[in-house]
Formats: sequence, structure tokens, C-alpha cells
Amino acid sequence: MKKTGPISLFLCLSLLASIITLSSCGGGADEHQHEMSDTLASDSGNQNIEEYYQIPLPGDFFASLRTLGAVAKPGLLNPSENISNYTTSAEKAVNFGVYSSDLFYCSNFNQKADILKYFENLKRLADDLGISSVVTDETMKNIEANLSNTDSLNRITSSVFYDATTALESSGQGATLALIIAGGLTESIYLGTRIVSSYKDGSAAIQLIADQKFPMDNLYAYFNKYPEDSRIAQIAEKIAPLNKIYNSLTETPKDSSASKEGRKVIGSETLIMMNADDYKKLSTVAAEVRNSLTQKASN
Amino acid sequence: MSTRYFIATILLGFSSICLHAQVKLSDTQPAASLCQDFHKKACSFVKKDINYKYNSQSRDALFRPGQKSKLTFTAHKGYDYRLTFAGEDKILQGAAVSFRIIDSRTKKELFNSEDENATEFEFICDSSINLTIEIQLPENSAETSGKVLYGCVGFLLESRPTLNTGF
Repeated sequence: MKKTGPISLFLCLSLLASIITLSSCGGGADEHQHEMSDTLASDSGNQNIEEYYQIPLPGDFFASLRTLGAVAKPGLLNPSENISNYTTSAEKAVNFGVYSSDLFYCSNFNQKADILKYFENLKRLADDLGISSVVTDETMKNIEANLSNTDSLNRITSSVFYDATTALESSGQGATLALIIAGGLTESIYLGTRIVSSYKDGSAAIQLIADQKFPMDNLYAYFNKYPEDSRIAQIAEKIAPLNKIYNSLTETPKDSSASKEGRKVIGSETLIMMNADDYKKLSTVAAEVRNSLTQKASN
Repeated sequence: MSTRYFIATILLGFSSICLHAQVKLSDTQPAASLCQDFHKKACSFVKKDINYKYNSQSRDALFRPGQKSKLTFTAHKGYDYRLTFAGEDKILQGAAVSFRIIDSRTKKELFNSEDENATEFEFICDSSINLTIEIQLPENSAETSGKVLYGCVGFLLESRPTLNTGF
């Protein structure tokens, strides 16, 4: 009896360990995860309609600006050494977005001088946000090996951003993700207004910058999912002047859409108009808001 | 006595660990991680076409049969878009994901997959717009057999600068 007790215990514990290990393995547990018991389902079987808000990556915006003839200018990025300013989780999340946008800018406009430093910053911020798996040593090696390849750098940056999105959603950190997106969108608008510095009537690049109202609307709708999060309230307030400019733009009715070559044509019923004054205001406010996110406030 | 005590302790421990593991599973593994990259593997377009590239607004989510969901994305002027859905057969059982595309602002319906008997949709965007897609999964009779079903649904969006064809 004295002998069999501990052995049974050992065997049972081994069995338990195996069962627990098996049930926590990602791939093999697919069926288990997808066909949970009634008890579990009653916890998570909420039939409320879930709403998702998607916002294009900064890389899409810069790629479009590049196609429209925009050219990079030096000295625009958030200095990499500013990272030491970011101590709160809100600052870290927002500036993860800012540095991501800077990286998309670098890879789209062939500005490679500081790319490694910016990726190192993303790695540090990702570690602090608890999503260290999104920028690994392997990622860094991959970047070094592809420094001369714009497409690869763009792909790696997209992959880091996408993985960060998934990791944050998976760990129930949707509010942190909203902050990252806020930082990325603000930096994109700021950089856009700097590289398209002169206003021209009918310019497609100016229209694209004006149309950032749509992602901005989605961002605020996303913010509304987290009414209790004080970080969201704080950042929404900081970005508010930029949102206010977008909300003040006039819109003119547009002819209704038809079809073209068998494909449906879809578009907003109104066109957002931006004149030279609006653009000047937007450029000024974008810089102010961006600086309020990236520079440490002096208390 | 002592063996029984051991067994009882182990069984109690086992059930409490199992319970804990299940609760932890539901708390820490929401939809996104279970279905990561599902759309990349499962979604494809019937018609081959040129220049379309993956759009970052694509996504995955975990669904139950009969569940409804809404997804809003931005389409920009001067781009062509095409989108499609795919779902695991365990929740679809051969049926399709039905979806409606709505102008997010005016709430006007622009496309209904059931009216057109379609599984994908392609459009040219002539002025930037936020579009809301309402997704509805079919009910599944297997749900009544004592198991609650979950399955991944993927949304694949592709875009390209609008092609100007003809002279």
C-alpha cells in the first residue's frame, strides 16, 4: 500500500499532465476548441451583434500617395530616441502606431537609413505591451537581410502590424489596439500633409488626405466600444482637434453611381471638399496633434 | 482508506483543473486566435483577375450558427475592390454566408448576396465611402444534438487601382 500509493499518484499525475498538455496544444485541439460544452457555451454564446471596424494600414495610404507622385522628405519621422519618453501604456501603444506608420513611410519611400532603429523601437514597445512575439529576433534578422528590398520591408511591416492586431485582440486588449490605430492614423495624416505640402485644386493626393475622414470616423466608432477606458478618453481628446477639422469639411452631392463594364460602381453620395484654407488648417492641426502624442508633455 | 483518499483527491483535483482549463480557454482564447489566418487559407475568388492585391482590412472571426455580425471598412476612390467570405463546413453545412453591403452613413443597401445568389462581390469605388457588411450565418440543425458548434468565418478583401480599359 505504501508502495502503490505514490506510484498511483505519479501515474495519475502523469495522465493528468498529458491530458492538460494535449488540451492546451493549439493545432491538435481544434475540434475541442470549436465544439465546447453547453456549460461553456452558455458563458460565451452571446447573441449580441458584434461590430468590427477595419481601418486600412498606413502602408496602403503611403502606397497610394507614392502612386500619385508624392515624394519623401527628410526629417519628418518621430525621432527614434523619443522612445524613452513613453512610460505609460497609452503612450507606448500610441507610439507603437506612430513608429509603425513611420516604418511604412520608410519602406514605401525608400528611406532606409533608420529602419533598423525603428524596428528595434517596435520590438521594445511590443515587449512592454505584452505582445513580444510580433517582433522576434528572427524578424530582425529578416529585416537586415531585406534592407534593400522595398516590397519585403513593406511585407514585414504589414506582418508585424497584423500580428500585433491579432495578438491584442486575442488577449482581450482591443482598447490598446484602438490606441495603436489612433497613433498610426495620426502619424499617417501628419506625414501625408508634409509630403503633399502645396495645395492644388482637384489634386487626387489632396482628395486622398481629405478622405482620411472615413478611417477617422471608423476610429471614433471603434473608440466608442470602450467607453470605460480612461486611456481611450485621453487619446480621443488629444486627437479631437484633427477630427473636428475633418467634421468641418463641406460635402457636395455627387451623381448616383451606376455600373461600368459589368461591375457595380459604388461610392459615397457626397464628395468631401477641401479648399486651400482647409488644407492649411489640417496641416497645422495634424502637426500639433502628432506632437502632442509623440512628445512628453511638460508638467 | 489512504488509497481512496488519494483517488478522491486526484479526481477532485482533476475536475477542478479541467474546470479551470475550460474557463481559462474561454477567457483567454477569443475568436481572433482560434481563427488566425483562416481567410488566407479558405477564401478564394472564382474569377481570376489581374493586379488585385490583398487588402489589410480582411479579417477572421469565430462564429456560431445563425449568428449575425457587422464589419465596417473603408473603400477609397480610384480603387477596385472584390470581397468574399468562407466558413468552416461544420457550421455552414454546405450553405453560404449571406451578406448585405450597406452605406454606413445613409444605411442604404447597396448589395444583397441572397438577391444575387452570390458568394462574392466586386465593385469600382468612385468616391471614398465607409461600407458596413452585415453577415448572417445559416442556422445549423446539428446544434440541437447536444453540442454547441463554433466555426471560423473569413472575410477576404482585395483591391487594385481602378483599371481604365478601352481606347
